[in-house]
Amino acid sequence: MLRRVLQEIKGSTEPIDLNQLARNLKLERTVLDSMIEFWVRKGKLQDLQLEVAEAMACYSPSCGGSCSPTQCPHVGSMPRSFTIQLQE
Amino acid sequence: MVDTPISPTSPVVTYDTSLETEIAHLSVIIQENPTLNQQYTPRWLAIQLLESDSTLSAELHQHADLLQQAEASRARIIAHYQEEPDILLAEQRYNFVHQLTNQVLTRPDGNQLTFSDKVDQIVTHRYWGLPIFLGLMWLVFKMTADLSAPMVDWIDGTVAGPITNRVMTILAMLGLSGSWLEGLLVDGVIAGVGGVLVFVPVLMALYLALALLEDSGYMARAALVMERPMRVVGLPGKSFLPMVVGFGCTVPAYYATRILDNERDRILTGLLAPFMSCGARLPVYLLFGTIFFPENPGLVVFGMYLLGILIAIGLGLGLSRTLFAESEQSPLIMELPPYRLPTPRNIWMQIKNRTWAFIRKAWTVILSMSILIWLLMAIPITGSGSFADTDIEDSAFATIANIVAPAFAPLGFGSWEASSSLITGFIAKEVIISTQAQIFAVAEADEPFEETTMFEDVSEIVTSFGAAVLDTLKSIPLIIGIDLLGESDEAEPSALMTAIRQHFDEVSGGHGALAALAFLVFVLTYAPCMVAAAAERQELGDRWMWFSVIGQTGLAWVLALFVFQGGLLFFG
Amino acid sequence: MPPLTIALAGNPNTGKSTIFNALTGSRQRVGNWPGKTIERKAGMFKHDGFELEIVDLPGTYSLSAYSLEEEIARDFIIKATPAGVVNVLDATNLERNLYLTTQILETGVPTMLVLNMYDQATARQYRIDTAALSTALHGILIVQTSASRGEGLETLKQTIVTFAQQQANRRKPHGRYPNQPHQPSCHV
Ligand SMILES: Nc1nc2c(ncn2[C@@H]2O[C@H](COP(=O)(O)OP(=O)(O)OP(=O)(O)O)[C@@H](O)[C@H]2O)c(=O)[nH]1
Ligand SMILES: [Mg+2]
Repeated sequence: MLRRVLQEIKGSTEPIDLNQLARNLKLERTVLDSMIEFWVRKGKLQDLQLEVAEAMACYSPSCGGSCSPTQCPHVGSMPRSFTIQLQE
Repeated sequence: MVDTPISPTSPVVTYDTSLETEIAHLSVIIQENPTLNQQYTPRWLAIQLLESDSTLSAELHQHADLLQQAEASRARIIAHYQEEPDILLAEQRYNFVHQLTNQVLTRPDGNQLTFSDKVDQIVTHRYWGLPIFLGLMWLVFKMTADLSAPMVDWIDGTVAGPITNRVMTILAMLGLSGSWLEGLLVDGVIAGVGGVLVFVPVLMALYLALALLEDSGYMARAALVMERPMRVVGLPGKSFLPMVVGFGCTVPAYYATRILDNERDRILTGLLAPFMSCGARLPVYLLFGTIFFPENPGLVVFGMYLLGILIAIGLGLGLSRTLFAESEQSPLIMELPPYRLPTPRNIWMQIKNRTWAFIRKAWTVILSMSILIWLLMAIPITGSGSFADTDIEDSAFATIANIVAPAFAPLGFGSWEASSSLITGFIAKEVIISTQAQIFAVAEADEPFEETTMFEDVSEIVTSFGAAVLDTLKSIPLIIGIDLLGESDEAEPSALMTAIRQHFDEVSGGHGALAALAFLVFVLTYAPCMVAAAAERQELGDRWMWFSVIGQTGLAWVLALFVFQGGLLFFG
Repeated sequence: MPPLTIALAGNPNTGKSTIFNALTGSRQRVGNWPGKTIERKAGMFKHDGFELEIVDLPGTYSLSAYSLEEEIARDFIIKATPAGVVNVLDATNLERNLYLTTQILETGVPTMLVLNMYDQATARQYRIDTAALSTALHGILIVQTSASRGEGLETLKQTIVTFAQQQANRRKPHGRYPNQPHQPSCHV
């Protein structure tokens, strides 16, 4: 199932909503979340909120570093989103 | 409560045979080593080694043999499954847990669509999603314009009336009436900074509307809808993030392009981001919308935002097929948070933070620009005036602006008054307003200044504030198009608004509204502000910075020409 | 002999601290984990003349030592070798919570389960076959609680004592857990 999740995402041509993906795979939403987290840790998925927070670090110190992305005014209001990590 | 003895033998989760073989193999080695056997549970350690847990590998560095064996085991597993062991192990753990849960848990059908899911299917629909998004955005700008109008009038009245009076009264007491200091304070600082601060209620109303959409959870859906046009343009879905940032400010948008994986996407996104109308451009849209289209300024603002997006899409289509080769697309996965009632606290925090940033900018960038512009307007170049006592037409400011003014003539606003504000607007787009406010404050026939007492001023501020609050409340039903009170009294246009209207009418040969539209299109499109250009230079390099500055200004000129001359053909 | 130590482990927000407070009352020591900025709460639990030290571990979704919380929870379970782990689960979220359970069980530390938030699970008409769950996990002890409402806490206290006594009897003075498989089973 874990690998199905990644395949499903890779094979999609449309933006995917996590609720929809959980329904398609007949997975509990919280379980899907933990699988997504697994792939983020493995470096196969990118957590875009973290990426943006990192990219903003030199624009506004409150965005980068060790603080949470929610403290960054430009990132906090952004929806949490992920994408396939193309190259390592 | 269940109480059966713990079975000492078999593990709870058993993995595939090939995995178990390697686990057993490593476990034996661990067991045969007394230290390790004492310190760790062999099976656990074996599994961790297969997962190539880095903390453990560090702890076990003196057991080189074991680590080597573990590497060999991993290699065998990878060769067998074409997959890393930790993924396999996690997958099989997930499967175990999934089966176990199915076995022990019974519950009502959880796969039914919730209300939130049903709403999502509509608002993120492939075809309806976009119209719904646009409709909501139109509502946002209508609400912004309607809700803020009374307060804008109040601040405008307060700045032009009581505050100016107070300053002049104090200066008169100090015997500085008519001095250059009075000019600097009244025509420079108060006109310039005040002219921009007038728009604080506008921004607050916009931030209120946006915060409502964000806090309720809709914005995440909008992002999903916005992601599709990105693909059309040939950009990966995630480049919508810098674009969203761009609606706030173009500067961070350039930094946000760093999330893109390759240079092509980064540059293309960076080139398109400035077309997302930033918060600084909103006051300009709204001021001109109110002056020239008083019945529907919100529609003008909405139109400008939409036009920016359309320009970006068109340009993206062009650039991605010519200058840049198509790049790999990667799908976007998005979390749609459950809909909820926005909390006043969250909303207030958002309004406060963003508005405060705007006010800070007014006190720094705009204040210094106002002083600089006042200086330039005070220095005579031609004519017979002296410093701070010259006809503005003869000032250094007008002289410089007159050089470029003819270039704007075909666009309908070839005067030094209009073109100068576009030049100063390169510093920051709000300065377009502060500059015009200064120009027309100076040019204004000096009204006879009537001395007022402090008490009169304060009570004037308070009573007009009360009236403004009342008008704001009255305007709420108007947003949804219901005129509850049956009276839609047009606010009196301020002195600045009247002056701008007259000026554009004059300079365009009687087509003021058309010239104003061309002016707005120019403001939307032309070079990003100085700070943004610096950010672009840092992120994309010199070449692309100049490409943006020159290219966008050229494009702005062509589009504005198109609007004005095309408009003349149709309506002229 | 110092009292045995029992660790409370589980996913974030499953009610570990609520249970910890219910077990230890005012007999708590609050500090930080060595070298970490994360709060460490330990306390004494007394029941039926039996005394135990309870440690409230930070909430984690796995034991992979990826985040600070995971590292603390894992190091404590592996290195401090508590006499047992009380794994607190959110009964409304069984599947996600059980993933951590499988990892805790793999460490070989004796474990019992608390299905907390049972009130909410009941409200959602979830029915959990605890007997089957216990059997599948080789006879693990399971208690259902609604800690914030104080429901099931008496049973929990008694079960923890039973659980700890089992461990005390089995435990060698200085060793790992003797009830571990000597030969890893391998179904070929
Ligand atoms: N409905 C319900 N709520 C509970 C129950 N037990 C705890 N809660 C609530 O769940 C929330 C989290 O409880 P905590 O005890 O802080 O959870 P925790 O596991 O210590 O959380 P972390 O330390 O963050 O991992 C609190 O608001 C509790 O009041 C329960 O049985 N039923
Ligand atoms: Mg806690």
